[in-house]
Amino acid sequence: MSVTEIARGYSPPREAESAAGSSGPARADLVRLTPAAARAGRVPRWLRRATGPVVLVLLWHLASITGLLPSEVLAGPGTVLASAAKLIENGELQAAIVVSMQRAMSGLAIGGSIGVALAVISGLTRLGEDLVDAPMQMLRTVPNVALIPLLIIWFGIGEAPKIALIALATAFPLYLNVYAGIRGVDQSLIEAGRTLGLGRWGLVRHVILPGALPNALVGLRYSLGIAWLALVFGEQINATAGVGYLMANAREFFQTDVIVVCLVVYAILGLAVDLVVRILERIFLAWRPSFTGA
Amino acid sequence: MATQLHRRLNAPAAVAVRGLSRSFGDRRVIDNLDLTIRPGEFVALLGASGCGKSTLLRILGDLDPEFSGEVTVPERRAIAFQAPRLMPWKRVWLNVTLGLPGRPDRARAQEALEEVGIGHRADQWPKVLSGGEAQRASLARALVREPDLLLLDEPFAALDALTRLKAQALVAELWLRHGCAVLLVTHDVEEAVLLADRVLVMKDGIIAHHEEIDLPRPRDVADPRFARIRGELLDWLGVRQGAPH
Repeated sequence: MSVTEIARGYSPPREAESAAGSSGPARADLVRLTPAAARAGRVPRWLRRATGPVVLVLLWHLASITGLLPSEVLAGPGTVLASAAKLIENGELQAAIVVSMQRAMSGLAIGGSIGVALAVISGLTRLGEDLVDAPMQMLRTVPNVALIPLLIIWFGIGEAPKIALIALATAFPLYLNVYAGIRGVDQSLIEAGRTLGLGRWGLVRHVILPGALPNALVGLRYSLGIAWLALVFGEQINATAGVGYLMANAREFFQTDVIVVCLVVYAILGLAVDLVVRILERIFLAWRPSFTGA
Repeated sequence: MATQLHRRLNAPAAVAVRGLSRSFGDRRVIDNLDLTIRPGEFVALLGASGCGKSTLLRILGDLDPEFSGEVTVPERRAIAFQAPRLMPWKRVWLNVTLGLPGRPDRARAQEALEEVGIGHRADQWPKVLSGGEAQRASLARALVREPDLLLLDEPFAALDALTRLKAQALVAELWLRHGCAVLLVTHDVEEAVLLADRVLVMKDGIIAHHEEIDLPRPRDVADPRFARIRGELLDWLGVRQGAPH
């Protein structure tokens, strides 16, 4: 059989042909493959994903208006919305958010700076590692919240212990991730940098720190999550302003609607800062091969 | 042994190695090796894997100081590795200028990238480059330093066959233009004969054989003399040829 015979569609004789007694070549069962675009259902994905939460809120609403869920236990969504509108109208909610935000961000700024600075010291130098890493690894196992009594003794009950708690809590995730990032930089890139004539500082600036950036952003994300958690605990310490204060007040008067509003605010603030980190990743990690766009 | 490679030493050597040894544990990978590379000479270093050829290159590139013996190399050296080793967080042109003194010189980077045929990729992230393009960028980064010695550590090994042929032709062209001494570490006999003035075979920690290749350039793989040299080198590498010459 020549090449041209094959190319012209020559097919070898089949045993099946005589067995089946058919005249033409036996045809396998064929299925038409549909491209993904045509395969997608009629309901868009976002709509399907929105269904779950909407159903939950509807059930909540039904339970409230039928009296199945008394408002002392949990106010209905209508009441929650109304009190949210009222709190926004008289400016209480905004003021509380600003105060809470400031606490979380100043705590993060202080704790984050300390965490990153220590990570750079112990990541870049052997001496720093010996001096810094062991104590940090020991301290990180202490639950931050357990330090509240000490913080109150040291800093009183004003803003300081709240910010100190957040700072303490946020320092560790950043420390651990930046340290791991620095130590995880591809050795072959460092070697390449050296052959290109980069000195110690040049290597740190052009190779090691950019290489540690993905981990640093992961650390930032953890830190932000923990900052919020620490904020909730911190605001239980005799707060006179902030979302936690609003909540504590509402507890005194059994205002479950206000408590729910505060919970929602905490959730939204958490989501918002997470979005900020995603945007930062988009800007600073555009070079990453694995990055496909958040 | 010490003198057999030192012919034609009328110019000061680009690379002079005397009595070089390097051990890993009790394994002596390089054992009292001598090597001279003339300025502007293209030398290919062949050898079975694990014979120490990459170790020798790393020593010449000042990446491995744990050796004994005497090694003289030019101050201006550049290395292109088997993997391009571009910094993924720097645009291609900033990769080219990385490590050069002063502010990053865009024009200079552009020129170097044009020379290797990827001027249009200057503003891209390394992640979008193909394997061949990344290797070209790595070459541009090496050559922009105007080295007196260019060390190439199997730079084509990871490329597909067609891309490799183009990259080899490019290296030949760049070498003619820049006139730097080149040490090409490879396990591809054909590549060595195609590019080099002199092919060295490394075995048992020394240069076991050296072969001057005086075929006219550009060289033709189909040339019978080419085939004969390739056969001899394969013999030296311990690969038995089906039909010996």
